[in-house]
Amino acid sequence: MNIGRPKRIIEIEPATMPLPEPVMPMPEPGPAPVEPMPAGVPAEPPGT
Amino acid sequence: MSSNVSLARELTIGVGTEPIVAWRAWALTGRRDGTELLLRPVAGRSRPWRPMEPAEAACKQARLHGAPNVDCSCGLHATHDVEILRRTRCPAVLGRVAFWGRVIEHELGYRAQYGYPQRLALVCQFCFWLWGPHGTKPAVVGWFARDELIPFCWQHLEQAQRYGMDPKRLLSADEIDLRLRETYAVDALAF
Repeated sequence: MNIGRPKRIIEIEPATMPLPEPVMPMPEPGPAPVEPMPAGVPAEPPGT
Repeated sequence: MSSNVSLARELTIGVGTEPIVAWRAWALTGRRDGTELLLRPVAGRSRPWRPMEPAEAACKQARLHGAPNVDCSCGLHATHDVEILRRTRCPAVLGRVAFWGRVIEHELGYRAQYGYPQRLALVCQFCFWLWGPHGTKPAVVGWFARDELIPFCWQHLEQAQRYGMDPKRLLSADEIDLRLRETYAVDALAF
Protein backbone atom coordinates (compact mmCIF):
# COMPACT_ATOMS: atom_id res chain seq x y z
CA MET A 1 0.00 0.00 0.00
CA ASN A 2 1.37 3.39 -0.96
CA ILE A 3 1.24 5.85 1.94
CA GLY A 4 3.16 8.61 0.19
CA ARG A 5 6.40 10.30 1.10
CA PRO A 6 7.71 10.46 4.68
CA LYS A 7 7.09 13.80 6.42
CA ARG A 8 8.56 13.51 9.91
CA ILE A 9 9.85 11.09 12.52
CA ILE A 10 8.22 10.92 15.94
CA GLU A 11 9.76 9.12 18.90
CA ILE A 12 6.85 8.14 21.16
CA GLU A 13 7.39 6.89 24.69
CA PRO A 14 3.85 6.49 26.03
CA ALA A 15 3.27 7.16 29.70
CA THR A 16 0.96 4.13 29.72
CA MET A 17 1.24 1.27 27.25
CA PRO A 18 -1.79 1.02 24.95
CA LEU A 19 -2.17 -2.66 25.82
CA PRO A 20 -5.05 -4.34 27.64
CA GLU A 21 -4.63 -4.89 31.35
CA PRO A 22 -3.58 -8.47 32.11
CA VAL A 23 -6.48 -10.43 33.55
CA MET A 24 -5.79 -11.54 37.11
CA PRO A 25 -6.73 -15.17 37.73
CA MET A 26 -9.65 -15.59 40.12
CA PRO A 27 -8.60 -17.07 43.49
CA GLU A 28 -9.83 -20.59 44.03
CA PRO A 29 -12.75 -20.68 46.46
CA GLY A 30 -11.62 -21.92 49.86
CA PRO A 31 -13.72 -23.33 52.73
CA ALA A 32 -16.47 -21.06 53.99
CA PRO A 33 -15.33 -18.94 56.93
CA VAL A 34 -16.43 -20.28 60.30
CA GLU A 35 -18.24 -17.75 62.46
CA PRO A 36 -16.73 -17.62 65.94
CA MET A 37 -18.97 -18.74 68.76
CA PRO A 38 -20.17 -15.71 70.73
CA ALA A 39 -18.55 -15.46 74.17
CA GLY A 40 -20.68 -16.58 77.05
CA VAL A 41 -22.83 -18.92 75.00
CA PRO A 42 -22.51 -22.47 76.19
CA ALA A 43 -21.51 -25.02 73.63
CA GLU A 44 -24.35 -27.23 74.74
CA PRO A 45 -27.67 -26.21 76.11
CA PRO A 46 -27.81 -26.22 79.90
CA GLY A 47 -28.94 -29.41 81.54
CA THR A 48 -32.17 -30.80 80.41
CA MET B 1 20.58 14.75 -5.14
CA SER B 2 22.37 11.41 -4.99
CA SER B 3 20.19 8.37 -4.27
CA ASN B 4 22.67 7.44 -1.54
CA VAL B 5 21.61 10.42 0.58
CA SER B 6 19.23 9.37 3.32
CA LEU B 7 15.79 10.98 3.46
CA ALA B 8 16.20 11.11 7.24
CA ARG B 9 18.32 14.24 6.87
CA GLU B 10 15.34 16.10 5.39
CA LEU B 11 12.85 15.14 8.10
CA THR B 12 12.11 16.80 11.41
CA ILE B 13 12.20 14.64 14.53
CA GLY B 14 9.58 15.09 17.22
CA VAL B 15 9.00 13.52 20.61
CA GLY B 16 5.64 12.48 22.09
CA THR B 17 4.05 10.63 24.97
CA GLU B 18 0.66 9.83 23.40
CA PRO B 19 0.41 6.84 21.04
CA ILE B 20 -0.74 7.60 17.51
CA VAL B 21 -4.03 5.98 16.52
CA ALA B 22 -4.65 5.15 12.85
CA TRP B 23 -6.60 2.83 10.54
CA ARG B 24 -5.42 -0.63 9.58
CA ALA B 25 -6.69 -3.82 7.93
CA TRP B 26 -5.64 -7.38 8.74
CA ALA B 27 -6.07 -10.88 7.42
CA LEU B 28 -7.41 -13.44 9.91
CA THR B 29 -6.54 -17.07 10.62
CA GLY B 30 -8.02 -19.56 13.06
CA ARG B 31 -8.87 -23.20 13.62
CA ARG B 32 -11.74 -25.03 12.00
CA ASP B 33 -13.88 -24.43 15.08
CA GLY B 34 -13.11 -20.70 15.12
CA THR B 35 -10.60 -20.83 17.98
CA GLU B 36 -6.96 -19.63 18.07
CA LEU B 37 -7.77 -16.48 16.13
CA LEU B 38 -4.77 -14.51 14.92
CA LEU B 39 -4.56 -11.17 13.14
CA ARG B 40 -2.03 -11.26 10.32
CA PRO B 41 -0.66 -8.71 7.87
CA VAL B 42 -2.62 -8.76 4.60
CA ALA B 43 0.53 -8.84 2.50
CA GLY B 44 3.56 -11.07 2.63
CA ARG B 45 4.42 -13.60 5.27
CA SER B 46 5.17 -11.22 8.08
CA ARG B 47 4.71 -12.23 11.67
CA PRO B 48 1.19 -12.34 13.16
CA TRP B 49 -0.07 -9.80 15.68
CA ARG B 50 -0.30 -11.89 18.85
CA PRO B 51 -2.98 -11.21 21.47
CA MET B 52 -2.02 -9.28 24.59
CA GLU B 53 1.48 -8.40 23.38
CA PRO B 54 2.71 -5.53 21.22
CA ALA B 55 3.47 -6.23 17.57
CA GLU B 56 7.04 -5.25 16.79
CA ALA B 57 8.23 -4.26 13.34
CA ALA B 58 10.97 -6.29 11.70
CA CYS B 59 12.83 -5.85 8.44
CA LYS B 60 14.51 -8.31 6.12
CA GLN B 61 17.38 -5.86 6.13
CA ALA B 62 17.51 -6.13 9.94
CA ARG B 63 21.27 -6.58 9.91
CA LEU B 64 21.53 -3.20 8.22
CA HIS B 65 18.89 -1.21 10.05
CA GLY B 66 16.14 -1.33 12.66
CA ALA B 67 12.49 -1.00 11.64
CA PRO B 68 11.01 1.34 10.62
CA ASN B 69 13.76 2.93 8.59
CA VAL B 70 13.13 6.13 6.64
CA ASP B 71 14.85 4.83 3.50
CA CYS B 72 13.01 1.49 3.51
CA SER B 73 9.33 0.49 3.42
CA CYS B 74 9.58 -1.62 6.60
CA GLY B 75 7.55 -1.13 9.76
CA LEU B 76 3.97 -1.66 10.86
CA HIS B 77 1.69 0.22 8.45
CA ALA B 78 -1.52 2.17 9.06
CA THR B 79 -3.34 5.03 7.33
CA HIS B 80 -4.82 8.40 8.24
CA ASP B 81 -8.01 7.68 6.31
CA VAL B 82 -10.02 4.45 6.22
CA GLU B 83 -10.88 4.92 2.52
CA ILE B 84 -7.30 4.15 1.43
CA LEU B 85 -7.65 0.68 2.93
CA ARG B 86 -10.29 -0.17 0.32
CA ARG B 87 -7.34 -0.86 -2.00
CA THR B 88 -6.01 -3.49 0.43
CA ARG B 89 -5.79 -7.05 -0.85
CA CYS B 90 -8.23 -9.37 0.96
CA PRO B 91 -8.88 -7.57 4.27
CA ALA B 92 -10.85 -9.61 6.83
CA VAL B 93 -10.63 -7.28 9.83
CA LEU B 94 -10.72 -3.51 9.95
CA GLY B 95 -9.64 -1.53 12.98
CA ARG B 96 -7.96 1.27 14.83
CA VAL B 97 -4.41 0.62 15.92
CA ALA B 98 -2.16 2.41 18.44
CA PHE B 99 1.44 3.02 17.39
CA TRP B 100 4.44 3.96 19.52
CA GLY B 101 8.23 3.74 19.64
CA ARG B 102 9.73 5.12 16.44
CA VAL B 103 6.90 6.27 14.17
CA ILE B 104 7.46 7.71 10.69
CA GLU B 105 4.59 9.89 9.55
CA HIS B 106 3.91 9.78 5.80
CA GLU B 107 1.59 11.87 3.63
CA LEU B 108 -1.16 9.22 3.87
CA GLY B 109 -0.28 7.16 6.94
CA TYR B 110 2.37 5.87 9.30
CA ARG B 111 5.06 3.23 9.70
CA ALA B 112 5.78 2.27 13.29
CA GLN B 113 8.04 0.23 15.54
CA TYR B 114 5.35 -1.05 17.96
CA GLY B 115 1.59 -1.41 17.68
CA TYR B 116 -1.50 -2.94 19.24
CA PRO B 117 -5.11 -2.94 17.97
CA GLN B 118 -7.55 -0.74 19.87
CA ARG B 119 -10.85 -1.47 18.09
CA LEU B 120 -11.73 -4.26 15.66
CA ALA B 121 -14.55 -5.34 13.35
CA LEU B 122 -14.93 -8.08 10.76
CA VAL B 123 -15.59 -6.85 7.21
CA CYS B 124 -16.90 -8.51 4.09
CA GLN B 125 -13.99 -7.66 1.80
CA PHE B 126 -16.25 -7.37 -1.26
CA CYS B 127 -18.62 -4.93 0.49
CA PHE B 128 -15.61 -2.99 1.74
CA TRP B 129 -14.15 -2.73 -1.78
CA LEU B 130 -17.50 -1.64 -3.20
CA TRP B 131 -18.95 0.63 -0.53
CA GLY B 132 -16.25 1.29 2.07
CA PRO B 133 -16.60 0.71 5.82
CA HIS B 134 -20.38 1.31 5.75
CA GLY B 135 -21.00 -1.77 3.62
CA THR B 136 -23.04 -4.73 4.73
CA LYS B 137 -22.05 -6.41 7.98
CA PRO B 138 -20.71 -9.94 7.39
CA ALA B 139 -23.09 -12.76 8.27
CA VAL B 140 -20.70 -15.72 8.13
CA VAL B 141 -16.98 -16.44 8.25
CA GLY B 142 -15.65 -19.02 5.81
CA TRP B 143 -12.90 -21.36 6.94
CA PHE B 144 -10.46 -22.20 4.13
CA ALA B 145 -7.28 -24.20 3.66
CA ARG B 146 -4.28 -23.11 5.72
CA ASP B 147 -6.69 -21.86 8.43
CA GLU B 148 -7.59 -18.72 6.49
CA LEU B 149 -10.81 -17.07 7.72
CA ILE B 150 -12.78 -14.84 5.35
CA PRO B 151 -15.94 -12.98 6.41
CA PHE B 152 -18.80 -12.69 3.88
CA CYS B 153 -22.23 -11.13 3.70
CA TRP B 154 -24.81 -13.60 2.30
CA GLN B 155 -24.82 -12.04 -1.16
CA HIS B 156 -21.04 -12.18 -1.58
CA LEU B 157 -20.79 -15.68 -0.12
CA GLU B 158 -23.15 -16.82 -2.87
CA GLN B 159 -21.09 -15.03 -5.53
CA ALA B 160 -17.82 -16.40 -4.14
CA GLN B 161 -19.17 -19.96 -4.19
CA ARG B 162 -20.42 -19.49 -7.76
CA TYR B 163 -16.84 -18.67 -8.80
CA GLY B 164 -15.30 -21.63 -6.99
CA MET B 165 -14.28 -19.93 -3.76
CA ASP B 166 -16.01 -22.45 -1.53
CA PRO B 167 -15.32 -22.41 2.22
CA LYS B 168 -14.73 -25.80 3.82
CA ARG B 169 -16.82 -24.67 6.78
CA LEU B 170 -19.04 -21.71 7.71
CA LEU B 171 -18.95 -20.08 11.14
CA SER B 172 -21.17 -17.37 12.63
CA ALA B 173 -19.68 -13.90 12.01
CA ASP B 174 -21.16 -12.58 15.26
CA GLU B 175 -19.45 -15.34 17.25
CA ILE B 176 -16.07 -14.86 15.54
CA ASP B 177 -16.34 -11.08 15.92
CA LEU B 178 -16.98 -11.41 19.66
CA ARG B 179 -14.28 -14.05 20.12
CA LEU B 180 -11.77 -11.91 18.23
CA ARG B 181 -12.46 -8.91 20.48
CA GLU B 182 -12.25 -11.09 23.58
CA THR B 183 -8.99 -12.65 22.38
CA TYR B 184 -7.35 -9.24 21.88
CA ALA B 185 -9.31 -7.62 24.77
CA VAL B 186 -10.42 -4.68 22.62
CA ASP B 187 -13.70 -2.90 21.89
CA ALA B 188 -15.87 -3.09 18.80
CA LEU B 189 -15.13 -0.67 16.00
CA ALA B 190 -17.97 1.83 15.58
CA PHE B 191 -18.31 3.26 12.07
